[in-house]
Amino acid sequence: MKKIGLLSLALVLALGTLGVGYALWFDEVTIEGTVNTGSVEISINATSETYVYKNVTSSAMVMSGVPLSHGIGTDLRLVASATAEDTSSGTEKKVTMTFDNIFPTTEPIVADVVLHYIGSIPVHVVLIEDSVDEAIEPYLVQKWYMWDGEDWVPTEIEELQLHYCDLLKLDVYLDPAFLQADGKAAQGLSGNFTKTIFVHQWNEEP
Amino acid sequence: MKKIGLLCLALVLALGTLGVGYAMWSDEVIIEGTVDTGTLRLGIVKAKLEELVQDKDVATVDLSFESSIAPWECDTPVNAEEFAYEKLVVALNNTFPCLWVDIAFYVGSVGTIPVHITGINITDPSKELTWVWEDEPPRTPCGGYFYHTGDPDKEPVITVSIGGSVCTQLHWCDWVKADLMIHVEQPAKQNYEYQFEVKVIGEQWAE
Repeated sequence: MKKIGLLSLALVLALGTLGVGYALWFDEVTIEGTVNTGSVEISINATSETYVYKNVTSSAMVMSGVPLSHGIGTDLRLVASATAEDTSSGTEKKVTMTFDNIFPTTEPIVADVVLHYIGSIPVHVVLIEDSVDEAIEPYLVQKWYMWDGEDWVPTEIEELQLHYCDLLKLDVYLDPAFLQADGKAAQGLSGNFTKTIFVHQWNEEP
Repeated sequence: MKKIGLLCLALVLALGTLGVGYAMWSDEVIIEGTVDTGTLRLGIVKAKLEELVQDKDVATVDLSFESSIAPWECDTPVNAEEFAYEKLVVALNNTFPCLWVDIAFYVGSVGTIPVHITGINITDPSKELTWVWEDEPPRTPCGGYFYHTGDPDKEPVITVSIGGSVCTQLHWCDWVKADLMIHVEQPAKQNYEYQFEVKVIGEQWAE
């Protein structure tokens, strides 16, 4: 009977302490957060090319932005072309341009690439490599344009800043007037060029 | 010891600035290109004496080539030269008035751009004969025109008629046959070798 009394006393004390615990006043603040980091990314949006044909029936020169059916059984013979192809591999983004059998024409034979800035952080553009073989250097023309929503507007590439969704275009061609002026000296030339367009966040320097 | 400490501090600071430099985000695109320009090459790939009209076998005609332009790697015409040449040199030996000579020559395209033949130039390297056109050219004449020599007010020494459809368009490996019909006239000198050079002129077909 004494043991039962002790057990009861212990239960009462235990319940008492529990009562104290529940009797406290309290309040709380919860802090939640979501984090999104920005991005710096330039992508190859499009390329375009030019094909030059001779119509052997009329002798007319035909320039086209798309390849046309030509050769035996047609009136057209392919004479020259300027092509641009997205040759990216893995993480390396690359465009390969090929200018074949170029000669003086009224309109230049152009290949171009459109770059799309899809990063969320504004960036600075830097040409970290801009090499042209000596043989073709006098004739090679490279012109940059920015899309203003309605038209392509000429721009300088150095110090240019890009923001999300900006479009940047590079036209490459051989200057027909210089080819014409140099005559035989401009014939049979071969050469390569490389440009590396580097973009980095606008508020830092590489 | 103090110097080593300063050096370490400098290194730390340098590495720190390097860290700032590499801390930015970046991306890049490479644009590579190869460029080949075309060629416009027109040359004489064959020549032969077709006819030498004379009562007695006294006059001779020598044909030779100068200034090779490029190898002629096409199957035709038969017995073509191994190269296309800029000039055909015609030498008339022991000629006499009223001699008729017919020379066939073949013009081929060894360039990658289609070429439009616009004419034939005849010059005398010795300057003995000045070749002029019967009709003043807006451009070098092609077929059906006559050339004559010396002062236009004087009687010509040699006349040349160009036959064949020379003024045509040629693509790589195409060729066309033309004729030089030569007539030696009365004022021709005795004991003199007349020599002249024939050169074919062309321009890209699209112009």
